[in-house]
Amino acid sequence: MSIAALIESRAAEWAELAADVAWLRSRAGRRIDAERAAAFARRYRAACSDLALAAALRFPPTTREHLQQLVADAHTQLYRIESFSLLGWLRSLLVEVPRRVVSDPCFWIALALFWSVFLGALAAAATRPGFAAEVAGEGTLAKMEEMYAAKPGSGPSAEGRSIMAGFYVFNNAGIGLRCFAGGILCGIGSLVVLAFNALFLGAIFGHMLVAPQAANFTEFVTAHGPFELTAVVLSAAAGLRLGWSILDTRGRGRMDALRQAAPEALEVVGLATVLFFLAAFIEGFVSPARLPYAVKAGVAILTTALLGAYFLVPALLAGRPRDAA
Amino acid sequence: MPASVSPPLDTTLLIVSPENIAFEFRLAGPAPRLIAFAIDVFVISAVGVALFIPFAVAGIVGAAFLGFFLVALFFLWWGYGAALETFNNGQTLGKLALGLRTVSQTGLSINVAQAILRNLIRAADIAPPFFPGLVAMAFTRRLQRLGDLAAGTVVVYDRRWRPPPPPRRWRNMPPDGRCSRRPAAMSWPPSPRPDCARPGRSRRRPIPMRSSPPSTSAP
Repeated sequence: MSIAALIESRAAEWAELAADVAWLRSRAGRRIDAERAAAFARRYRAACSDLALAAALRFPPTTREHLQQLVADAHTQLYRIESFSLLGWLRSLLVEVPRRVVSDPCFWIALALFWSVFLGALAAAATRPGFAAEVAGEGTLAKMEEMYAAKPGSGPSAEGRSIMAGFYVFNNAGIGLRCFAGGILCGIGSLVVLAFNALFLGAIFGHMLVAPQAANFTEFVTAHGPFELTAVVLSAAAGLRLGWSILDTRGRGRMDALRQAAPEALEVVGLATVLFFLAAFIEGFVSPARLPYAVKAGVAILTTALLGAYFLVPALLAGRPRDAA
Repeated sequence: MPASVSPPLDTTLLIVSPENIAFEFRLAGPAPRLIAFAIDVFVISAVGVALFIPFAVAGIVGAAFLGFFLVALFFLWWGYGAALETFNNGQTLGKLALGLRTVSQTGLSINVAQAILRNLIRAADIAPPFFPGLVAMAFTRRLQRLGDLAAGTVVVYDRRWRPPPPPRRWRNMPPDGRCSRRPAAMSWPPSPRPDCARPGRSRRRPIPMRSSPPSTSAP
């Protein structure tokens, strides 16, 4: 049989394989017909041997290239990972992520950095009058003072609150994701964004706490504080995890180490985003509401307790077996 | 696990599949990817504006909808690439327009985590003034930006190959594959031709082969 005749005899099956690939692409993530899937696998393997023949018998380059592309396309369809399961995902979110976060030095570094810079800036702004203006700018401070001149609850209506909640999602969660992304630059980006936010927030807190509007300010920031600040720290910790894996490879290649750390960091940043959403909801609807301060403080205590339980319970439960092993 | 090998100094990625066959992906460089990204940004902006119109109209009735608009904008900006690359086999609309596709560097299609990761880290890749993504593409053999490095993905050309027509010379060939006449020795451009069409080998014996290709056997 000549090459020409061989190509002609096989062309129909290659066309069928191409149709199978298109069909599988259109059915991504959905149920597929088992018989056709089996036929697809058979055709793929046949095309593989055709490709080997094409190289050995020197098929025309156009045919060889076509066959290459066909095999490559079919390969990406045959070998794919579809291991998404809700249960496994929940287990990962509720057990493995908190356990990993607590045992990760990156988290503690981010936490320590945030709070030390935040408290330092707060103390500096509260004691030295010019400090807050230098960090945040006169305009920002004036706006803050104006914002908290009135008691929470007398301000925006329910509609205004919804806008604010949307804005907090867009702005704060965006900052968190950018903070994470910056971590790929050996962790420096995350640290810079985290430190800058800590400095800025600390300066504003310090300034507002000694300003005449202090009571309104604390009443506003209490309820959503725990979720929001934890989310910032988590974003930075995830970014730091990413960047640190490039530096401390534990004997692997740098890129391999990065690729292994990345999915774990992604789960943490996903958790941070969830926290940002919850914080935005509280910040939009609870913080500005006309509620007694005790309720808002209660929300803060409840959310802090939730976070503490979330992070510490899985780690404590896991502590004993790990020590034994 | 498919092995992947990068041949030195070439914009291809060689994948060895479990069937023990090697095939190449053609890697896409910064220029088409930037254009694809520009198209994506345009699409995102257009969708954002299109979303804003009903939200703005609804906003007259109740300003609360503007809050939802901002949340939608957040998901649009951060989720556009990840969602399309997950559900459209590694192709955003910009990549579709330019015939590009994101695949895992092992030659598999990308999964959800990879799609999210590479699209989140884009924020660092496009950070001025140094544009780390471009620098990374210049210094990695597989033309990967930082997001690609973290997710283990590459962007490759995904050409819609139509099966090529058989070379012209074959059309008049007798079915036994023997060449009936001597081809011109010097023709330009040199068209792909079967071995038997080489000058001086025109009476070549047909290639011995099984009469049925291996594919027709039962799996």
